[in-house]
Amino acid sequence: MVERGAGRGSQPAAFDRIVFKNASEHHYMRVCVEFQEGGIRLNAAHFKQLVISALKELHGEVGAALPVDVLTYEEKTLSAILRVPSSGLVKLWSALTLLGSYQNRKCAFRVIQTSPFLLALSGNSRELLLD
Amino acid sequence: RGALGCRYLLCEIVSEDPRCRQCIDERAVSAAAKDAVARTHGDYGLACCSISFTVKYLNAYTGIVLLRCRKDFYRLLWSALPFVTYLENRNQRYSCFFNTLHVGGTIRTCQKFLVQYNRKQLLLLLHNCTSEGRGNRSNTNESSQFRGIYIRHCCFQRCLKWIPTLLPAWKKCFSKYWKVLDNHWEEERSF
Repeated sequence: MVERGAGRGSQPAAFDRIVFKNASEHHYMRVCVEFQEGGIRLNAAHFKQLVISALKELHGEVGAALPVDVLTYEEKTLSAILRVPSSGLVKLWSALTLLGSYQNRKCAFRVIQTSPFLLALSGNSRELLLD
Repeated sequence: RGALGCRYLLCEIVSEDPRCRQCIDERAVSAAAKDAVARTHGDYGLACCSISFTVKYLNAYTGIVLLRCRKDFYRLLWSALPFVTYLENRNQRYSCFFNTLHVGGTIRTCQKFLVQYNRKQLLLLLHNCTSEGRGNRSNTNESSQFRGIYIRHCCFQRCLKWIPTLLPAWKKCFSKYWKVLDNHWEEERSF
């Protein structure tokens, strides 16, 4: 939606105003997975398979076809940043919440931050240490 | 009346195997539909569609099935029906597919549609038969077509009896077709 300032007489247009109705077409989530038994290693492909299997269990083939992307993954802390289209945020979040086990090992997903903008995930005021 | 919203899905089960008809019963159909919803939409979809899910009407001769589900989740059921590939009954599997004909809010609208649909199918089958000419009656293709017409005729009659009020215009329109069908059937049986 573009508005032009109405010029009176021979004055040229003074400004352009562009308004975007949608906040963002993707949502970003910082998540980490915790296993009941420690010392479990997962690489990025296994992590993505974990997310897709959670979606498949709760939301079936249609849910598993949701275009979820793992943007970054840290193997040491088992945490990642996921990107999902905004229409699929509820499906993904509910699937991650209800995932109980992976390959007969109990696990749980912790959602640390979520935002429609990736920049917001760069800082986390909860983990800020104030000396 | 609008509080418990329900949607009725009128479907036709199409199969190449003629023995599939004896497999069409309420338990097999509801198991096949629920299994398809579970595969397509997961635990959430299965739970949503099972809330008030029943098979309301079933006709094994024509393969017409009327399914009921909640108004909020009829799209989950509707989108899962194309994923049904077989019906299982007493450890016998027959491959088939579901063809959704109509979605209605009440049983009555589905009834009305079904009568119209059967009427059109009857005309189609009749048209196909007469266009083949009065050739060799022992030709199995033609006799099975006649059988098909007769079965549709019976089901159509039952469908008409299903609706409490019958418009006199329909009776007039179809009386001549019924006479034609009865004549054809008599001729076939006399061979």
